[in-house]
Amino acid sequence: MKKAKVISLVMSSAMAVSMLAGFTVSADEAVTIRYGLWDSNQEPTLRAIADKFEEENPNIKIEIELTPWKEYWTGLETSATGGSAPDVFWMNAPHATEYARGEMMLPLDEYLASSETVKKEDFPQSLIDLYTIDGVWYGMPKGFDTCAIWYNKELFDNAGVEYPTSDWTWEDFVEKAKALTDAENGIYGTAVQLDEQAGWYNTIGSFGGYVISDDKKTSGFGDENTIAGIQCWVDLINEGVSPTYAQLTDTSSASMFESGRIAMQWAGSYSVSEFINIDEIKDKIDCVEVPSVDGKKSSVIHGVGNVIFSQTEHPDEAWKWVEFLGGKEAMTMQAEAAIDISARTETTSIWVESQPDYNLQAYMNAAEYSYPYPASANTAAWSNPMYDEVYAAFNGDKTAEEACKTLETLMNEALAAE
Amino acid sequence: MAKKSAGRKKIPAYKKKEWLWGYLMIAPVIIGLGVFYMYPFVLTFYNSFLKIGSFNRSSWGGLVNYERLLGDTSMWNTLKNTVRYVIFTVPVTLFLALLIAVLLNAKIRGKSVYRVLYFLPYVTMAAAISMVWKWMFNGDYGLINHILGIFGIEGQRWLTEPATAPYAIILVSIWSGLGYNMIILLAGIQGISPTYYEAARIDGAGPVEMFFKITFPLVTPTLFFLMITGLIGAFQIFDSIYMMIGKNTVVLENTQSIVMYFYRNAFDLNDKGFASAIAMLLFVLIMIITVIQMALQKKWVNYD
Repeated sequence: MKKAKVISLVMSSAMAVSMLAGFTVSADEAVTIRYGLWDSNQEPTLRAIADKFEEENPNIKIEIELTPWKEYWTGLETSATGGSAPDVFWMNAPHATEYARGEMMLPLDEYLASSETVKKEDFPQSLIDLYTIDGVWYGMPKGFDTCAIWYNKELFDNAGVEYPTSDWTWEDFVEKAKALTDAENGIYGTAVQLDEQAGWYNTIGSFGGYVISDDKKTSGFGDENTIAGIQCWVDLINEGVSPTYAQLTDTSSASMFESGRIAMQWAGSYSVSEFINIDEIKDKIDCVEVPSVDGKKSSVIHGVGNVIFSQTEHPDEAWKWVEFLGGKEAMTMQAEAAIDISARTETTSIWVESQPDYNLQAYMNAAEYSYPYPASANTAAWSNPMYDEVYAAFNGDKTAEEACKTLETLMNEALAAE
Repeated sequence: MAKKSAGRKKIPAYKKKEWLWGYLMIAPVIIGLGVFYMYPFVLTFYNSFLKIGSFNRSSWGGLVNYERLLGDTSMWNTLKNTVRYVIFTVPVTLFLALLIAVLLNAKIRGKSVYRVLYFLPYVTMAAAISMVWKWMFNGDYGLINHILGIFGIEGQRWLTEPATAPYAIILVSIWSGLGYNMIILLAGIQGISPTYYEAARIDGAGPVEMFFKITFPLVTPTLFFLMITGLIGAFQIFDSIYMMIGKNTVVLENTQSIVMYFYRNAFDLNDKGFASAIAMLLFVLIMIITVIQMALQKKWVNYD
């Protein structure tokens, strides 16, 4: 009995000690930096960039954590509140102010001052401004997205319609859509976009309206031009040149475009790498700038930023990764794979040249007449009701004007509460 | 009773040791229940009186969340949706499961194969089930409309029409819940002594009469258990609706369940205080239903 007790005591203390051994960290142990992102189209290229980085920094490992867009922000908020967000993650304009005021991002000014490879002047000022909140700079610009229209040349040829050119007007757009629609065969001239970045934010700008005032205190949805920017989409459904809202929630317009059922698809530059890799259509498509309304063209511009979690355990290594991502090598690799228009000014043309078969210059030109993506300190409080109202208008439950007026009231209340 | 005398006997050491081991044995479960169930419950109750913003920054709100809850039309629609879901799903599933269990208890060939087939949906991930059914229900490219088309019937947009969407979801839930209920009911049926059936056969009873006079009354304890747990589970439905209907859809107001509404407020709209009030409402609702069920127990459940 006594012998058994002694043996078991010795064994359990041996087990306990061996567990403790795992807790010691030697000075040259590899540091793992977790990198959170949401776009599966971009993951392979970013993995290649990470591999390059690991070659040059053998003691740092980059682990990519992909969370689908639908769950990205809810997951990030939970993990940030719990102190376990990824060390580096993607940030966007609607959430930048919220995360800055919540002290969830590390200020990068000091690191930038001592950097040898990255300077603020390497990037367009508007992208730096996007991630400068209350005077502090938090995010390394990654890329920028604008909007253009992709068209299916085969459908145009079959219907005998001329391809669109960059100086086309909204009337041309609707006319072509009508000529291209063949409801019997399930082919539509265009599709109403359920995403604001590829859809109504652009038309609101083109029709001369605005989403939020410059001082972020009032809503632009009461403005008659803004209402026109929503009404134009409703008209497309009513004219029969677009699938109905119910159809589009059942099957996405992107899937329909990729199966050759939509002739003209509004799409942000982030969709480019998806479209050009779909075998069914990649040889039949090209892109063109958005149509003008009374001589005015507009696109919303937005860019993802790489930010560092304020509670990361490895801020220096996280900065090294962020610095590398903002540097020439990573930006070039990104541009060559056409996953995003690289933010670094000297590399933006590489993106256009990487795909000579397509008129990607349309997206570059859009940057010149673009306005920054509308955001405020608590964007979700008004952007979620915005979807409800706009979709109600698309579905015919309300007129565009009613939806916009309701939204204006809700949005002003939300902005006042910030 | 003898221990209440003035000279109290000392509790013997072996008794204390027994109690110690008892507590030690239940400690893991109690700690688990405490940390993962009781603590969040108390916290949710507390949170329902707060106004909470991003990253859990909060201030006292008093009854403001509850006042908002009472006046919220979305909340009433959600309640209606959830009650409709529960009323259709639970009884129909139980009835069908009982029927199938009785049939699978009879002498037929390949019984175990059928049992596996019926049980398979229960062990499949809800996410996988939802994705497959979502595609099957698709208005333009779905399998169901394709098959209906062969018979010349025009298919609807099952998941995006307000009239059909709630019932499409109910259908999927019944399909996936049958297996579990069937297995439990089968166990309950097999616990009925065969002498009852023999006596009834001698008296000349047919299968239908035997079902209603013998099987059904004696399986009521199992039915009762399944009904209570089924109702509690059905009121909390979330994943299948969330995955089949999504967040931005024309039928949201017709199909949204209470837990979906909770999720939307807690995570999409960043209003965890209001969401906690919704959670408390669900708790009270389920408690009332369960208490009513327990009270009605004596009326229809036969414990022999």
